[in-house]
Amino acid sequence: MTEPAFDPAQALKIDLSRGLLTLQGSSGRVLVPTDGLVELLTAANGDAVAAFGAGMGSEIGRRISDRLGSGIQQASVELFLEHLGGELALTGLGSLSVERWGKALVLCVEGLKVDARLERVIASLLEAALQRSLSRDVAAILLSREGAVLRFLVAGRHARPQIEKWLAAGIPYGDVLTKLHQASVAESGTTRGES
Amino acid sequence: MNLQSIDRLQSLLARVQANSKRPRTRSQGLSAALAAPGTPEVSSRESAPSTLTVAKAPAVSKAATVTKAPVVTKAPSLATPAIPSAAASSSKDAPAASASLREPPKSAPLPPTPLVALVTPPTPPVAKTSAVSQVESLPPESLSGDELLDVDLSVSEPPPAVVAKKAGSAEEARAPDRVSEVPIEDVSAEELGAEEISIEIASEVMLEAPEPASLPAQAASTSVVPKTFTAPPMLDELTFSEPPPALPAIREPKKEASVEPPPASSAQRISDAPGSIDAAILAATEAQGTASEPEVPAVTPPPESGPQIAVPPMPAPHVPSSTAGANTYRAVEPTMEQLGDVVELEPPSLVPLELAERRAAEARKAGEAGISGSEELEFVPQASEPSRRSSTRDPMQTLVGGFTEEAGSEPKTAVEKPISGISTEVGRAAKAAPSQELDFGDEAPTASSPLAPQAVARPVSTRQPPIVDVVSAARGYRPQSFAELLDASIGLLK
Repeated sequence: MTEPAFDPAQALKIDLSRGLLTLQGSSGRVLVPTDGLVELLTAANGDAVAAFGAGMGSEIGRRISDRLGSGIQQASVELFLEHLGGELALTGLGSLSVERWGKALVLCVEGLKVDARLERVIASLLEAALQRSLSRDVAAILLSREGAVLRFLVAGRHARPQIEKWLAAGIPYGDVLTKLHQASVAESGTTRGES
Repeated sequence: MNLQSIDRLQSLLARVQANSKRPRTRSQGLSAALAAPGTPEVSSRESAPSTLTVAKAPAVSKAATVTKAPVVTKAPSLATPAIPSAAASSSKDAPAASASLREPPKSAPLPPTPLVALVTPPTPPVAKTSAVSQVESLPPESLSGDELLDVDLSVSEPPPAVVAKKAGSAEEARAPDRVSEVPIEDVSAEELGAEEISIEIASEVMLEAPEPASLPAQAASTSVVPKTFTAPPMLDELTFSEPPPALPAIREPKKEASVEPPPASSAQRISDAPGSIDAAILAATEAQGTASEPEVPAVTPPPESGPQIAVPPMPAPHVPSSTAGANTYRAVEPTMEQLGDVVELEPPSLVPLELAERRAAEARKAGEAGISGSEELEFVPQASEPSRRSSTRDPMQTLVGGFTEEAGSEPKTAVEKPISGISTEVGRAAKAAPSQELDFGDEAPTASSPLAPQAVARPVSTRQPPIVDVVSAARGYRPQSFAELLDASIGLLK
C-alpha cells in the first residue's frame, strides 16, 4: 500500500490576472509581512489570536484529512509529519519536526519570528490541526524557546494546567517530561494493583 | 521716427486708395485707416477698445513677461511690442483678463479724454467700414506734413490695430476666425516701422486710458506693459530654446477652452497673407529655426480640472506596445499569453523515495549496529542531569548532524520535517532526505549537501542517565502511527 505523500506542486497558485492567491483550492490568501502580522496580533486580545491560529489550523487539518482519507488513523509518524509540516510550511509559519520523548510527543517549529503572539498562533494552529484531522482534543503547550526553535508538548487538555504550573515554577522541560512519565507509571501501577 | 514715417504713410495712403475699391474686411479697413494720416480718430475707435482692454488688464501685463505664445516669443524684433497682446491671448493665469478680453469693448469704460473720447462703444463692422470710407474720402493731398506729424505723435491708434494683428492680440487670438480674415497685404513691417508705432501705442494707451476703479494703482502701473518696451535687453536675452516658464494652471470653463484655438493655427492663418507684417514675423521666426519647435499649447489643463489629457501609462515590460500606449488611466493588465493564466509552482522533478525504502534502510542500519528488533532501550531526557537543570540547552542539539550511537542503543525517532517550503525541489530533496539521514555515518548530509538543511537528522539522545523509574514507563513502546503516539502523549497525565 502506497501512502499518499505530500505533494506541494500546484499547491500555491498566484492568479496574476485577477490578483488572487489561492492555497490548494481554498479561499483566497493574502501575503502580508510578518512584522505587520505581529503588530496586528499584538493589538488583538488573546482570544482573537487563538481564534486566528485555530482557523488556520482547522483548514490545515481538513486538507490533511482529505488527502489521507480513512487511513489517517494508521498514518505513520513520518507520513503525518510530512503532511502537517508541509502544510505549515505553505503558510510560511516555519518548519516542523517531531521529537518523541518516551511517550511524549513534542512538535518543534523552527524558523519563526520570535514573538509571543506568533507562538500563541502556532500553538492554536497545531491544536486545531490535530483536532480537525485526528479528532483529538489536545493542548499544545510551549515547552521551550531556544533560539528559533519552539517546542510544543502535545498533551491532553486536562494536563495543561499542571504542565504550565511546572513550567511556570521554572522546572526545565526535560524534568517536566520526566514528571509526566512518572505520573503515568504511577497511574499504571495503581491501575495494575487495582486489577 | 515720425518724420521718417511720413513718406511711408504717404505711400501707404496711395495703396489704400488703390485698395478702396475692393471689398474690405475689418483689418483692411484698419490698414486703410492706418494709411490715412488724417483719420487717426477713426481707427482709434476701432482698435482702441481692444487695445485698452489688453493694456489695462494687469494680469495680462504680468503675463507679458511670461508669454507662452510661440508665435510671439519667437519673433526676433517685431515681436517685442506684440508680446503683451500675445501673452494676453495665451495667458491662462488671469481669468479676469481672459474674460475682459472676451467681453465686448463696451465693458471697458473709456474716459472722456481728448483722444479716447472719440472711442465709442464698439461699432459693428458695418460702421467700421463706413468710417473707413470716410477716411478714404479725404484727399491725401490735403494733409500737410505737420498734420501727419501731429497724427503720428498724438494719435497712435492705427498702430494698435497693426499691433493687435501682428501679435495676435487678445481679441484676435481669441477669435481665430476674424484673425484669419486679416490679409494685411498693404502694410509690411518694414514700411510701418511697427515696432516704433506699437511702442507709441502702448504709451498712449498707458497715458490716455483711465484706470478702472476696481484696479489698484499698482496694478494699473504694471498693466501698462512698458516693461516689454523699456527693457529690450531683457527681451533680447530671452532665448527661445529655453522652455517658457510654466503658467499656473487655472481652471477655466470648457466652453472657453474649446473656443480658443492654438496659437500655431492663428499664426499659420495670419501668415497666409503674403507681404504682411504677420508674414514677416513668421518669416523671421522661421529664420531663427524655431518654427519647427513644438509649440507650447496655450491651454494647460490644470491637474485638478475635469477631463484632462490622459497621460499614457508607463509601458510594462511584459506589455505589448499596442497596450502600452493606451490612453487610459487603468492599470495595464498583462495578457494571458505573457503571464499565463495561472502561475503555478514547478511540478516535482525527482522521484519520491518510498517510505518502505526508508524503513528498510533504517532496519538495515539498526541490524548493522547489532541491535535486534526485540531489544528495547529506555531513554530519558538529559534534563534530569544536575548540570542540565541550570541550562536551557537541549542535549539533543549536540547530536544534530551526526549520530553517536553506542552499543546497545537504538535511535528512537529520527523524524524530520520533509518539506520546508513551497519550492518543489526543496520539498523533493526533503523527501529524499530520510533515507540518507538514517545512515548516520560519515555520509550523513552536511549543510553543504544539496539535501541540507532539511536532511540533517535529529535523533533522540541515546546517552541516558540511570533514571530507570521514569524510563520504564516508555519501555517497549514503539508507536505504529502518529495517532497512537498522540494518544500516548495525551494519556501521560490523566
